[in-house]
Amino acid sequence: MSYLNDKALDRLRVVCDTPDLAGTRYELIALLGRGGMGAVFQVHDGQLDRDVALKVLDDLPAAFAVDEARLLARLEHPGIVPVHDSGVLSDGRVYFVMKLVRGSRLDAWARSATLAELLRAFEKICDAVAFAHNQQIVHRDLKPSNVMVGEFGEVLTLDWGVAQMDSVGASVAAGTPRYMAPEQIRGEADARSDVYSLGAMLKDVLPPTAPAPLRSVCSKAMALEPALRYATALDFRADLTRFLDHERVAAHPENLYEKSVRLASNHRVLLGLVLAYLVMRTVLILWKLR
Amino acid sequence: MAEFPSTHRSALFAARSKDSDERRLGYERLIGNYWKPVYKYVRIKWRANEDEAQDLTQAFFARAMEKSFFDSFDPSKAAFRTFLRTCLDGFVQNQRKAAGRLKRGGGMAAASLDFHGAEGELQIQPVSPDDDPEQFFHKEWLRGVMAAAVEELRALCAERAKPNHFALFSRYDLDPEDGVSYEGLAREFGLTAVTVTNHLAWVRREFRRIVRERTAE
Amino acid sequence: MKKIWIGLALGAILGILDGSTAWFEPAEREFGKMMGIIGGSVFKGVLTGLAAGLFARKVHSEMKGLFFGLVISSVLSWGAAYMIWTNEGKNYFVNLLLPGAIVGAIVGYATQKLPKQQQA
Repeated sequence: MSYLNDKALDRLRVVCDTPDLAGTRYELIALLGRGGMGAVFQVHDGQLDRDVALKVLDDLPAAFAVDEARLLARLEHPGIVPVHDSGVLSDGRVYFVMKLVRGSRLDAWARSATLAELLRAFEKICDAVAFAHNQQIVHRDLKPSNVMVGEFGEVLTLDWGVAQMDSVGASVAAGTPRYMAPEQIRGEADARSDVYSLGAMLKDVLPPTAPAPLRSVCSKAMALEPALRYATALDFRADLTRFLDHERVAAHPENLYEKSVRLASNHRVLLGLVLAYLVMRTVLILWKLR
Repeated sequence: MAEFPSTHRSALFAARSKDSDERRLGYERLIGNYWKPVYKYVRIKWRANEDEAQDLTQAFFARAMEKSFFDSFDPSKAAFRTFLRTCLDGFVQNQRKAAGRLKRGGGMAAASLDFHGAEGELQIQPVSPDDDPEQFFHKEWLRGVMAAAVEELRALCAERAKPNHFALFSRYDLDPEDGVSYEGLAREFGLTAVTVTNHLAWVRREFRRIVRERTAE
Repeated sequence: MKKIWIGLALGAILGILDGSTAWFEPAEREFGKMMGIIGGSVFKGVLTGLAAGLFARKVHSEMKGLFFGLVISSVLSWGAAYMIWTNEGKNYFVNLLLPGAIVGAIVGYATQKLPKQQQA
């Protein structure tokens, strides 16, 4: 048996991944990438005359594959990519069709975003994740490459392929190690595991000069003990919002100096006016007394 | 009489059979699929030298058969390769702690496993120990599966008297030159571009089927 | 109504403080004169605060509120300085206009920022 180098292996993976769309209304355009449990392609929907994303699931028991499509179809939220269609290919693999998100991955977009823009995007991610948690669904593979920022500024969380019903209990150690909570690595993921991943994601995309309160937010979200993290994605979001509003962040105990700087920053116009008044008055008084 | 399992799924099934012959054949098929990624993984991730890696690889599979490791595999919880890698990690860790004597054999003679070839492959494409272990194991396993699938496809095309099909697959998908195109291949093989398209569609479909059979759990 | 009350309160308080700085002029330290100055300053501040509060209910812009307060207080300060000029012949235009404008800006800005809006 001859040796297959990495390039040959990659080409053969593409051959295996490429779906046979004969009999469907879709026409293959390009491979977009490999996700949690399958490859994603850009295809053209001949019926509606638009491009969409088609995800083909790797060989899974049919029940699991259909479950993933149904799970995603339940998640109707502006921050979660909507499912349009699903079906079975001629080779037996299940596919589902989603909105094609034109934009940038979060990590790429973050390089040119301001800190405020980045945190606002994270607020939207938290909203989507919290919505899913309310449906008892845990993502389990949150990472910057699974979040897209669209051309209109919309923030969409993708690749719910390893999502699991929280009530069923996630015993599979799925996900990406860098963003996985310790309990998730052990196969015991729940909603707080997603909170950990959110913290890891934020830590990844924050600039090196990020202020201490934000680093504290990341640390709290990434606490090794789930009980020490933010209880929900909305609690995590709330601290980000406090930071944006120049309020005290719950995760960061302020010393007197930090509090003074924050208040001064929050009221710099007022402080400037008061200072101007005092200077003005002093000058006038001294002038009179001269 | 027990038959050699033809698919990965049937090998997994056979490995859990109560019939000892069927069980043995099932394990042999699984060992055939996984010994090379196991060896490379032990060399790279556990930083074993060649001799230790050979011993650990053989001992692992011997222990697996003896203790029926694979009986507890549940496909609803994880892929088999993930399960196997977890078993392997535990085994190597325990071996290093105990520093005991390794039991080799288990029905597979060392000569049937081409460790020298596997070592050569590691030299061709060096790997860093810091690479993600799960991804490394997965890639090496897939490399073996794909290589075997290519050989099976070659044999299939020969059996069905379709020499052009495999040749086109090889020229376009397996080892393409820069600028290769359907039209170029059509001219070279004295075919039309439509025929090239159809041949490639057939051979790719067969390749995907072969790979799926080799990986289905 | 909160913005109006804030404007009135702030205008009064700052009026008292601003008027009190007249103490630094020996000629104005007499009790009756000080009361008059402070009273006038409070009157100016309350009017500015009322106007700024009403403005803040209609227009939501910190900078516009600041500028509005500045202008109103400047006009009132000019009026006060002109009255003093015509009645007493003293030139207090600079003394009243400049600090008065800043006090008005403070009131105008504060009525925009307060009370704190709750997050949706």
